[in-house]
Amino acid sequence: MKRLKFKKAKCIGCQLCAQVCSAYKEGEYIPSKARIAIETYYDKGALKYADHYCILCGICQKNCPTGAISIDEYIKVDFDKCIGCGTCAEKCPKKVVRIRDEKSYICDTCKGDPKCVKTCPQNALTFE
Amino acid sequence: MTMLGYQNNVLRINLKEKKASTEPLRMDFARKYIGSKGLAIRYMYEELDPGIDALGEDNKLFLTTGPLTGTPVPCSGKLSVAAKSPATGTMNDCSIGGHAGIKIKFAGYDMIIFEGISEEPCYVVIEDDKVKFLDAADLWGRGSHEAEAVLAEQYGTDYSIMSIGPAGEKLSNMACINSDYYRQAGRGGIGAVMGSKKMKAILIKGTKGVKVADIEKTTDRILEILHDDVLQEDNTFVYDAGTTAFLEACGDGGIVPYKNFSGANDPEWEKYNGDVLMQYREGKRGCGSCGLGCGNFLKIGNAVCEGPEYETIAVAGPNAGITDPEHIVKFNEVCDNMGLDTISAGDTIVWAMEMTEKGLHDFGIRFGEADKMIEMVELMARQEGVGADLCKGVKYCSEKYGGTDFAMQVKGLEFPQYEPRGSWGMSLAYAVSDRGACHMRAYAPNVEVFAAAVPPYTSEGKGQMVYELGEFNAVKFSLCICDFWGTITYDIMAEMLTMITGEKWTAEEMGEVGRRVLNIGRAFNQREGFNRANDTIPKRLVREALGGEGPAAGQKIPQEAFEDMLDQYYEVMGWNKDGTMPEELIRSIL
Amino acid sequence: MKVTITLRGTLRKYFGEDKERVYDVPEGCTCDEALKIAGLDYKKIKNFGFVSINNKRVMIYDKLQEGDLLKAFSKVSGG
Repeated sequence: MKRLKFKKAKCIGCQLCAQVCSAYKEGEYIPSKARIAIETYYDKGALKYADHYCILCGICQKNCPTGAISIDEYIKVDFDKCIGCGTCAEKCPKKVVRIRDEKSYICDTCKGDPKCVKTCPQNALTFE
Repeated sequence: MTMLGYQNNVLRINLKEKKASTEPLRMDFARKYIGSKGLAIRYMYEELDPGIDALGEDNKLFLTTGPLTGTPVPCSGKLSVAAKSPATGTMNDCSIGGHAGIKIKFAGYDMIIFEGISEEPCYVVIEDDKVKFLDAADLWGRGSHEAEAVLAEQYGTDYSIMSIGPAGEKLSNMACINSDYYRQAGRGGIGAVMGSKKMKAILIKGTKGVKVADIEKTTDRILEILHDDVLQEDNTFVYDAGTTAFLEACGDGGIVPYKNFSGANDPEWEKYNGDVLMQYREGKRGCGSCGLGCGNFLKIGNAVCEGPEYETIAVAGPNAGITDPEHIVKFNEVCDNMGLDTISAGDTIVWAMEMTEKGLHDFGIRFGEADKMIEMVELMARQEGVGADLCKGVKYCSEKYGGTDFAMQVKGLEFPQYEPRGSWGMSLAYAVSDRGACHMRAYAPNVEVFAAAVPPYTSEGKGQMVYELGEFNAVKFSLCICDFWGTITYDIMAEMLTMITGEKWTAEEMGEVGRRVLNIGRAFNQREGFNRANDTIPKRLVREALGGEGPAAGQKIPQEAFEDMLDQYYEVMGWNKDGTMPEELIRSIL
Repeated sequence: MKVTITLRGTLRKYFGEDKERVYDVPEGCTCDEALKIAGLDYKKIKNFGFVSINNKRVMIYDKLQEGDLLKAFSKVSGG
């Protein structure tokens, strides 16, 4: 199974990944709803990275109380079963699950062809 | 009347009343001036009465995005920060990088206007529709970096923070505004305007989105442009070396100033060139929506900065007669933290070095004195000792102490680090720039020095050349596109604007907007009393042959050649011989 | 006569791994002609900037002398 990989050293913190993710998934440029959030910032004289992206660890699936989440080649959330309880978001080690209007939104790697990877100008994001 | 790409929303903040209100964006202005630089100047023309005190309650601070801000259009993350300038008395718009621009847009605003003066030092926190005014007593007097660190600790790192240092609080003519620690709205004392409002910092974050016409098609095309045009080798030097790459090109071009512009080119430049500096690089950082990533975060010894950019290297290095790269980085760091523009602070110090060496006035500092240069920055920021005068810039100081002939400024704004005797068009660009000596208005060396077969040492054709460069940058910055996208064309600009706004824009209209922006800046300044008599260059360029060993050594710009260039430029612009604009021209652009 | 040619910025790719190359060129050869011998036609390279001889900018049609260092730069933009 291919996964997103992130190389800090290459990232310039432009956030194009989140803008493009939200464009295809939400129909507007709205990083707050994107299923990836990679930012860089300075803290105490050092350059730091906040890298929220799905690593397909499966923890959301294992913890989902209603069995709404399945993982095959990518993650699927069955909205008929999802009750928006937020357990997946709480347990997600990368803090990248978004809960909105009682539903859970999780990266599906654009069904195996992630747009964020196609976008990343410095190849900091790869899919391998 | 609304348009896609815009938020159609302006946030107006009155610091005296501690009140915030919103209003629709003037779309009649946006259609003529698009966004960012142009839109900001149009608003200033509308809202700032002639003759107001730049540091008084009637001046306003405009933070302006554009329709492309917040979209993945590459290099579109810059923000215009504008106000009337206390240094020049002209309009002043600065372009700041970092992430503040996209955060303002995501908070739901095209523009934020700060009005009035707070009674006590304050800072403002903007999160979507919420605006909070907070007491900045504990932050006042602190360095800009220190203030940002305190606020980031308290509020978290997902806010973008814009702040001023002691120089801005004390209303220095060369105070800047910092953002993300290392990005600046640098010039013309824009930080003093923020300081005059007693506003130490602005924090911004937002969760809203930007809507465009056909988002999938638009995004597909933007990604094509990103990879096929922006990320091509014509532009990627920006990632590899950033502006440090200019040092060699400008050096061989003969335009790196040496010892307060008395000569060009430092024989020891290899001690602090890009290859040396890049050895200390610890990371790369670009602005929001960037793609190229020019920022070099580096540490040498105990000196840290993102940069140093070419301007800072040149002014703290060869122009000061100093070759130590650690000094250059330290100068950069201290200026940023103190909230001083490196260009104007550096130029003023190197002028003081020459004054001391010539025995005209003892400022206690000579060429080559690196430690004293850093101390001088602190003195200027805190307005202590000789710093109390020097913080006002070379125009003020030379009028007080002499040395006007080699006070390198136009209209009170100090020279960027390009020697005009090696690039005659640059003397015209500095003279006619809407805010005094600025290299970002029309970057003449690009076409007359870094060119295989264009003669730099002539006035011929330079009016048209500077006009074309100026028109191009004026519209590019009105689209808030960064200068580093060197391959961008009017066709690409028009295509992107059409996609984002859903309304048809043509390449021809891009040129028309650029011309209009040049004119509205001039119209603002004309109302303040500026005309040909203010479009001047320092006597040094006219009277003294350029020193040093560079290719332009021995050059000077004869007064008649300079006047010829001015005539050419005014003619191209349709202005009168005295540099004023015909009334009907002003009416046509409003 | 022999001249050394070095390429800067993005023009470097035309010399592969070589930092510089030495060429035998005719007496009175111009920068343009020398670059053609080295395989670069400045008019055909969109991103071609300018040339310098011994670290001093010259016009592309200026003449070289024995032992000169000819540098060709790619375009620079922004400031």
